[in-house]
Amino acid sequence: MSTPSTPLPALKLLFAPPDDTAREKAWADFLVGCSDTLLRVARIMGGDEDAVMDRYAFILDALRRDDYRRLRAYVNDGTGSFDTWLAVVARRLCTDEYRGRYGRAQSDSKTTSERRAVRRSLGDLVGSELGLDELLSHDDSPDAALEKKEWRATLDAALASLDTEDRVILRLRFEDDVSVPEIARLLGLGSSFSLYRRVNRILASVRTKLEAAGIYDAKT
Amino acid sequence: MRKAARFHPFVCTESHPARVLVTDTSGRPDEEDHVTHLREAELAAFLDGGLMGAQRRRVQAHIDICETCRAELVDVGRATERRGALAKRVVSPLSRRWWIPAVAAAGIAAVLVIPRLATRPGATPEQTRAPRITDAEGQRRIEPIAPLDDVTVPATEMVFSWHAVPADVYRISLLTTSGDSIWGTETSDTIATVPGSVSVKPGGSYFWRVDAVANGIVATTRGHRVNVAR
Repeated sequence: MSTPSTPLPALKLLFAPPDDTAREKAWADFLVGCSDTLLRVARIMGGDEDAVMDRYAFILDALRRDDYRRLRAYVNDGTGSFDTWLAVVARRLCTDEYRGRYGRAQSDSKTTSERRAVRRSLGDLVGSELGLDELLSHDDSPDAALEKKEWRATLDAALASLDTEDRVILRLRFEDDVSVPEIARLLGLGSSFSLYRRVNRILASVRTKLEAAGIYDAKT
Repeated sequence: MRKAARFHPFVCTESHPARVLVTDTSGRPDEEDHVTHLREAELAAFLDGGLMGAQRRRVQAHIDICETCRAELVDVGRATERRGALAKRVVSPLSRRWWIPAVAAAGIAAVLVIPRLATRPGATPEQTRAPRITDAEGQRRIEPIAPLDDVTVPATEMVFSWHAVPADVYRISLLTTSGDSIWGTETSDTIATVPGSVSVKPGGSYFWRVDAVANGIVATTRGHRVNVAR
């Protein structure tokens, strides 16, 4: 098991202070370096300025709690920066703050059900992108419904057979509505130009699988 | 009273398989399913490009099925992008490959532009050179104003605008989706209009980009997709 290392001089003083005064100064120094990151995370969760500041205060309180337990968990193994790790921790604390304020969503809650109803699955969204939903939109016959069910099963199988990274790209693009340049940045995939082409290639491969199953009407 | 710290959903880190089917693309995992979420360090390392091989694939497989961790990925990516965390990223082999031609292109542009700048009367080196503030990708970013990515505009109203950066001139390019340039110009303004003489296809998609030039390309918007109304 690796030993936690301290990434910043301020944290070293924070974890092993000579006295309380030094600890308070170390905390203040830590905030000088990290408050910008913490505020950005607090802001990205939405709400007005009061909500943002409540969230920010919650994050600071949680980071100080139990003798900086959360901060002590950081392990500098060279794979990621402290700032990014801290942003992830802050993002999760924002979730805690939300749940502390509004309660934890239950699987049978109205909110969750509504959210699920509104959000369309990847199969629906890619099917729409390929033009599948247009084909039967004016046909309510039982045959059409059965046909649509078969198409959907074929489409789901085609999506399931994709390379994982390709499917993640489609999920971010269609389920989460993230722009292609942002996906390229999030996944470290280089230029958005090549990612646009890759998305087209992925959709083309899905279409090819549909055609192999006898579904020829999906548009590019 | 419910205390947020009483149950932390993310401390459960290993050896508990998620109760979801990897191959089920229509069913969605949910935070109420007690899915084993990514560790904070894993998500941070993935965002910083520090994971390779099996580790990277494992994280990808998780964010494929876990809506919660995917949302965190997007949020943290946005938060850290704005503070310029890209400069601190560990460059993966994949992204490194992409930047070789980018850096080469910047070098070629510098060679082409330097003689022209040298002929400017009365210009000192300090006046002709904008400060080079570089990120991991070797170029500063220009923030586009309009049109935003994937916006559809009428063919007669293709107007691009962006925020100013220290530069001598801006070079604007309109490219096809295959990367061929169909129009370009230079301006010292932060707005440019595609002239009516440029033929764009109704319903077609194009990319626009602006490069700030001062002793080479010092900043760029990179490519942004724009669609032409039918």
